[in-house]
Amino acid sequence: MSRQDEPIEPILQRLREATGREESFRILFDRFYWPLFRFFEHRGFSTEECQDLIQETFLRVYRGIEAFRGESRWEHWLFRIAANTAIKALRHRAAAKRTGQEMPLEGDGEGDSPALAAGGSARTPEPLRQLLGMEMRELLTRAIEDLPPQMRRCVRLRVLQDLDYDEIAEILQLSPSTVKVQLFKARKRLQMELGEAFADFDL
Amino acid sequence: MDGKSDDDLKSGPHVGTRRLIAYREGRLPEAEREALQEHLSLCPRCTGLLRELRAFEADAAGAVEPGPEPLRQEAWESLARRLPGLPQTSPAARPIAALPSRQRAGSSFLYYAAAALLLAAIGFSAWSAVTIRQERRRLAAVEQRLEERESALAAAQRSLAEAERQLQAARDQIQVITGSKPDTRATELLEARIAELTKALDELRRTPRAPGGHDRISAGPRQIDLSAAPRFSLRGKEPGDGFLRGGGAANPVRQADRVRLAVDTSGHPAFAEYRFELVDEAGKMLWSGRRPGRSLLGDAGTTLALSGLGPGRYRLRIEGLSPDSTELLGEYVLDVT
Repeated sequence: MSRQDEPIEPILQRLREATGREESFRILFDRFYWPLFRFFEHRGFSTEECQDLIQETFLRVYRGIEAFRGESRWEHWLFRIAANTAIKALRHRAAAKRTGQEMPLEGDGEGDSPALAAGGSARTPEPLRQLLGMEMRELLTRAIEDLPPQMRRCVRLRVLQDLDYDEIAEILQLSPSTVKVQLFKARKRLQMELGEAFADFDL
Repeated sequence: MDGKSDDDLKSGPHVGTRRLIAYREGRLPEAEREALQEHLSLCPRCTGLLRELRAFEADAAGAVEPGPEPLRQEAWESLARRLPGLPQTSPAARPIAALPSRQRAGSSFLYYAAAALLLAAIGFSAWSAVTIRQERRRLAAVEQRLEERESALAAAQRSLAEAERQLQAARDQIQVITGSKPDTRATELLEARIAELTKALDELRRTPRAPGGHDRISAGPRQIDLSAAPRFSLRGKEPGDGFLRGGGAANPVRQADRVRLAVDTSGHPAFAEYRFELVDEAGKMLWSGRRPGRSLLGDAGTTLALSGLGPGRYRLRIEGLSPDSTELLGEYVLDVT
């Protein structure tokens, strides 16, 4: 793989010009092949489909390089093309009604090996739903809505999406310590508002 | 998660990729930023897209774990063919996966020679520097694959020895049965079994190629048949949708203190190799082994003989291995009574 720290802009510049076009395109391809492969693979495409989608993505890069003006970061631009390519492929697949797509393996819990349990890429959402009865949930949901905006978002990401502090911080562009403080305050408020039932409520 | 995107693709109630990128790059006005954060807090699909974006950034910055080089080479060659403005890569750079395995041992020299010719023809341009690096990487990949194939061949030879032992056991059995009392049905079964094993052995001897010639897993019905000797009961666990089928006919060959499992993979896409793991109830690994996917009993599957298993509950995992992936095919509970 070509050097990862080599600046991209000169490579893109050569790609736009007539000279050195092949070489710079090959460098781009080599450098971003595996990141793209992992992206498509993560979306559940087979190896063969990943190969096709990567080619499709690079064809669009090759044809559309003039349109890249640097208003976003290059790898973000490439990501956007890849994401569009993936959606088009899924639509095409849905239209063709092809079956046999591989499903992630998910065990039912009892007696599963760690590999089985970890087979699905999706998290088990909403531990809240499992823990609390309908009425409690209603109360808690309403109390969460009344929290200040930033605190409310932290709580939702923690409770509804089961994310850890670092992930919440990344998503809301906050520091992990801010997230921690927000969740600490939120817990106090919710316990005060809702009383005994939430005495050991964990955020 | 098919996070929808922008441009011609409508994003519905969700955040488009373009807006999400603007958010990530800190280019959204405050009000829009707030609204987007509010949506993110409620929408796992959009946070998923954001996480994919972050993972892609990290991978693009060098965190990615590369896979087998021939895949990338193959993709590049197909791509280059679709771009009229680009020169095609030379024949020396054909993906090695397309060559029969036995030819590869002798072809390293040819690769060097072809690479040297290629370089001489191109001359010392900047393009050649790139090509030299690629050739070196590819040669390293060829050598690694060669080693893998040699170890797979050794595994196939061990399987051959195992099959020969089974054949001998079946012959002994038939002698015992015909010697004591004539039981036509049992004799027929055993004779059929012997014919099957003999045929498989012949086939194996004729084609001593290593497994792993299949770099692609073709689509097809996914099922594995698994049967065990009568004193053992099996419960199949189906992790996915129709992955495997448990139960089946009892294995006619029976020996004291030995569990015989016949695994039928005929309805399953061919894997280069299968891996089996037997663990006890406490999760302790008792045995693990590999069987080539295609050589032992033709395409029909493989047989495992496990000795020294006392009464109790065990778990058997079956995984299919191909050069670029491992797939869990099934997990069985094995009750030894």
